[in-house]
Amino acid sequence: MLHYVTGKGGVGKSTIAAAIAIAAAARGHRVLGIELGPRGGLARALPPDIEVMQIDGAAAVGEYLTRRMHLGRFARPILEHPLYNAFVEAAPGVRELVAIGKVRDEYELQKRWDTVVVDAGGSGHALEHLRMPATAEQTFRSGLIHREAARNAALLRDPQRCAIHVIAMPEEMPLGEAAQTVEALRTLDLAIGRVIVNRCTPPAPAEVEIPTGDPVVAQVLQHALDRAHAQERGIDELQRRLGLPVIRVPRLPVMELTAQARALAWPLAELA
Amino acid sequence: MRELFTRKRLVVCVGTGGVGKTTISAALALAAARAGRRTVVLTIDPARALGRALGVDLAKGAWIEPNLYATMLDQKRAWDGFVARHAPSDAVAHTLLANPFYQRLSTAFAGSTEYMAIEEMCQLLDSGAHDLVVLDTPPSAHAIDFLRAPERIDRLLAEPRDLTGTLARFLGRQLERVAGAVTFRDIGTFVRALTTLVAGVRDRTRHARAYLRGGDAAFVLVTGPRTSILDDTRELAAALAERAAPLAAVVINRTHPVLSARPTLVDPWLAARWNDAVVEATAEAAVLDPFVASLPPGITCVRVPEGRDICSLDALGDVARALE
Repeated sequence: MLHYVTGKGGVGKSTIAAAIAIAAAARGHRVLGIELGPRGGLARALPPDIEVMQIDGAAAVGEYLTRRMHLGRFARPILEHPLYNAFVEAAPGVRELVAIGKVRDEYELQKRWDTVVVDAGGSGHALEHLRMPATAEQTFRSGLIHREAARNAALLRDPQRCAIHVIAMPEEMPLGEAAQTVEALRTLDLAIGRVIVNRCTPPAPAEVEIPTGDPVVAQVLQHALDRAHAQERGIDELQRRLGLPVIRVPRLPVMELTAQARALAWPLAELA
Repeated sequence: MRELFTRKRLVVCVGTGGVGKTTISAALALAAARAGRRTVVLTIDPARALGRALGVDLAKGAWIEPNLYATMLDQKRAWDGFVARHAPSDAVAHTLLANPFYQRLSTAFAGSTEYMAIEEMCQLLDSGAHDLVVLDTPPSAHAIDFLRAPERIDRLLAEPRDLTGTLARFLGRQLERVAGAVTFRDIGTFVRALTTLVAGVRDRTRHARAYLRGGDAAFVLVTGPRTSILDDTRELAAALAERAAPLAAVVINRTHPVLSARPTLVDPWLAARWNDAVVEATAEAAVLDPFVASLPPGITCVRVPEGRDICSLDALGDVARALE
C-alpha cells in the first residue's frame, strides 16, 4: 500500500506517518518512508531500521528526466542549460509533478517495498502535490508528461493501491482544515484513507466539579474541561460533515518522537 | 518589539505551519495600528478562520479599525493584475491572459503563491497608502521559498536570449517530446509574451529584493514551544541569515507557565488533566530556555502565553498586548 499522510501544520503528521510505517514493518512488510521536502520530522521519528528518503526540488527533476529522456552524455550540458532551468525551476508545478512521479517509481517500479509511507507535509503543500498529476494530464495534452501524469493520477485514485490519510488535532481549526482537505480530495476524486485525530483526551465525565480555591489550578482545569468539550463537539461535527468515522489517537505524555511513533503504531495497526 | 511597529515599513512573518503565523501577523498589525500607524496586513490563503473571527470577509479586504486594513491574497486576481501592469501593450496582455498555459499557471500550479505574495507586497508598499505592511507568508514546508521567489521570476525571464544554438534547439525538441507539441507551443507563446515584460518585471524583482533586505524591513520568526518546531525554527533562522534577511524578533506562540501548585484532586479525570498540564509545562521549560539562550544577540524574543481561541477582535487584542 502507498500511504500519503497530510494535515495542518503542528498536528503530528510525521509521528503518525512513522507509526503507520512501524505498524507495517511489524507485519513483516518491507517499508520505505518518504519525505516530500527537506529532511524533517519523519526522519527523526522513524526507528533506524526503517529506511527513509527525501524527494525534493531540482535534483529529483534532473535525475528523473535523465533517466526518462535517456540523455546519457548530454545530461550535464542540458541540466545546466538556462532553458532547462527556466522550464524546471521557474515553471511552477514541474517539481511537484516529478516528486509524485518519483514516489510512484519507488512504490511500483522498484519492487523493493510492500509499504511506502509518504509524509506529504501541510495540507496546502500536499494538495499542491496531489492534484498536480491531474492538472498536468489536462494541461499537457500529449507527450511524455501527459503519459506520466496519467499514470500517476491513476495510482492516486486507486483505493486498492493508495490511501491518503488526513491528520487533525481535536481543536476547531485543525479539524476544520481536515474537513476541507477531505472535501478537496473528494473533488479531485483521489483515494481517501482515514481521518486520524491525534492527541485526543479521554472524554470528560458528565459531572465534573472544578475545585475553587487556587485560581491557577481552577484556570488550568477549566481550560482542560473546555478543551475536552470542544474536542467532542468538533469530532461530532467533522463526522457528520464528512459522513466518515474518524480514528482517535490518544494524547501521549511528552517523549521522544520515535517512542511516540512506536506507541501509536498499536492504535493504527488496522491501517497497515 | 515596539521599535518594530514604530520604525519599520515592512514586517514579514515566517515560520513552519501550525504555529499561529497568521494570528501573530494580524496581532502585530493591530498593535502597530493602535500605536497610531496606518497599517495593512496581507494574509495568505487559509486565513478564513481569522476573517470569521473578526467578522469580515478577508477575501474582499476590510477595515478592522480606523488604522488597520486586512486583506487576503487572491492568486488569480494578483496574476492578472501583474500581467496588466507589466505588459507593454494591451495586445500582449491579451495574448498572455488567453494563453492556456498561463491560465493553469495562475490558478493551479504549485509555488505560484510565493510569486504573487511578493508582487502584492510591492504593490502595497509602492502605493504609499500605508505606514506599515505586515506580511503573512504561505504555509509552505519551505518557508524560505518565499524569499527565493524574486530570483525564480528573474530566472524565468532571463532565458529567451539564449534560445539559439544547437543545444538549445536540441533541448527544445526534447522538451517538446516531454511536454507535448500543443503545450510546448503554448509555453513558447507564453515565454515570448513574457519576455516583453522583462524590463518592467526585472526592475520589479530588484525592487522587491531591495524592500526585503533594506533597513525598513524586519523579519519575525514565529515558533512554538515544542522540540520539533524549535528545530525547524533554528534551520529557518540559519536560512534567513544566509540570505541576508534582517531577522529582528522571534515570537514563541502559545507558551504555558510552569505550575508549582500541588492540588488534591478527587476526580480521577481532573487529576489526570492536572498531571498532563504539569508534565507539559515542565517539558516546555526544558526545551525553551536553551532555545532562547541560543538566539544571537540583538534579536528580541517574546513569549505569547496560550490564551483563548482567537474568536474576536478582543482576543486578538490580548495577543497584540502580549507582543508589546
